[in-house]
Amino acid sequence: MRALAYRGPNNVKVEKKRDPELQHPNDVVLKVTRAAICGSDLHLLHGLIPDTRIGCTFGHEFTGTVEETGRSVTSLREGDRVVVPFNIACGSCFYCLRGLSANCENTNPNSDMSSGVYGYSHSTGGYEGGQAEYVRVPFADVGPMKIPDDMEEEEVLFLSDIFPTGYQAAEMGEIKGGETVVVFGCGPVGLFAMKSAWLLGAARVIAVDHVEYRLEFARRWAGVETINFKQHDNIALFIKEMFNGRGPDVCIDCVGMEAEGSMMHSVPGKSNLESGSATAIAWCIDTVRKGGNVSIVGVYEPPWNLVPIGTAMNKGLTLRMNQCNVKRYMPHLLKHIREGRVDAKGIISHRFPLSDAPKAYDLFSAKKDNCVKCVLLPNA
Amino acid sequence: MDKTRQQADHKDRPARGADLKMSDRPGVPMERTTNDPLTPATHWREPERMRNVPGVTRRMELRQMTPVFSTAYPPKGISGMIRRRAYNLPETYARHWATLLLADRVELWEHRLARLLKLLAVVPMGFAGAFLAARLLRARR
Repeated sequence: MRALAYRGPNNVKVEKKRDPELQHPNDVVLKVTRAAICGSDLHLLHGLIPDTRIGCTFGHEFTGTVEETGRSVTSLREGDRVVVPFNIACGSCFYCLRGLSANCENTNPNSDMSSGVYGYSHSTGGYEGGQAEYVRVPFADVGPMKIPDDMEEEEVLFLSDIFPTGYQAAEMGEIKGGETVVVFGCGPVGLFAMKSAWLLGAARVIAVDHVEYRLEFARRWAGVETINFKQHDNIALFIKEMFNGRGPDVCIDCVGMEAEGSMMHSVPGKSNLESGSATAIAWCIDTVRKGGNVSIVGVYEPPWNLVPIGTAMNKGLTLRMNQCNVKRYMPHLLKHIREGRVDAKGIISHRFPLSDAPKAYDLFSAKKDNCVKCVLLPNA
Repeated sequence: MDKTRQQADHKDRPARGADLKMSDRPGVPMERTTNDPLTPATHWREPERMRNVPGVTRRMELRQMTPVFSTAYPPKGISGMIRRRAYNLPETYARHWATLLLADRVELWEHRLARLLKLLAVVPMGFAGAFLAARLLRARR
């Protein structure tokens, strides 16, 4: 089969690889129909995630058609169309029983920090990703959700990660109705966090970024106010002043480890003295009102970051974070898509055949051509 | 109005407040208390285990492999030795992660060196082939 292969920082190629095989009785092999490039794939591309091995295939947001099933699979048959959560979960461990599928303890032998994840380095288990013609999907009776017959792949593709992640981000902000919410980052996860903040009843949603076309897209697609942080000397103070000097009730970090805006973080981040730059977390903590909530879904990696935890402690903040427990959100968010409250497909700006995946990565990474979200069509 | 802050009209949004009720929210409470498997199709209490495959890395705290794992890219070469060393350190140590990052950089240079050696082997062979072909053509004339 053809698949994307990592060849070192900023270098990916499409190469021939061996077809995936069933390795466990509850595995299926999928023929991939759509595979999106996630903002967090860029952290892999830039060589920031520990134990990203040369040759591995990225891709944790994908849909596909079941090609082959293991002997213990009961809920799927050949030909079924499915969308797959990015976390690989066993469904029955201590964490899965509690609904925390992102923390499953039966799928990642390399680290205790998260479950297995498709195409996201050996730190999350070393599973091959979906930016390929075929992919192995373990625990097929747990993760994949059948795509309703009347829906297209692209309508539900983002139930695999970014829509549930954005929703969980807003939910962890504990929006109960009438709150003011600031979302840092107008990438795809940020956009879904904004939409979700409205769904949960926020009174005011403000988005912060520095890429002008993305701010414009956020205004149009998510109906939010926007601020370009590059136009202000001190973004935290500027936002606090908008709220009588106190700050908003909730701040959400949808940026992660490659944030711009602070030399104090960018320099140690780029020289590996901290794991990427924690600018967005620092801004969330500095901006939110005392007693407020900070929700973090931007991706960070061990071992450490420079986070102003003393400020958070003294302000009495609640900090909540996790990888998204995708499975529990899928049916609920499918309803929002189906009933027209969220046009998930509407954020796709570019589509490419698999052979053009390196070009797609370049476009998405450099934010060229007003790129919001790239989708690959591996079997088109 | 400050032109850097652009106000969008968000009155009368049909989606606003659709999930206001806490009971409608899939992630509330954060931890379920039912003790049911994650999906009805999860037909095991203990998942079956994959057969063991030698060479696959695992963190030192695990007594045995997780029931499911990936067999892709077992560590090899010098970077592989460094990776194995890293997985013998607890992940609560920063040096576990620093060693893994070091292994990534070493593997990159191994990869570049392997490509260079391939090139060094292919280019002389190409030249030799061209030379022989030219000699053969000349001899036929």
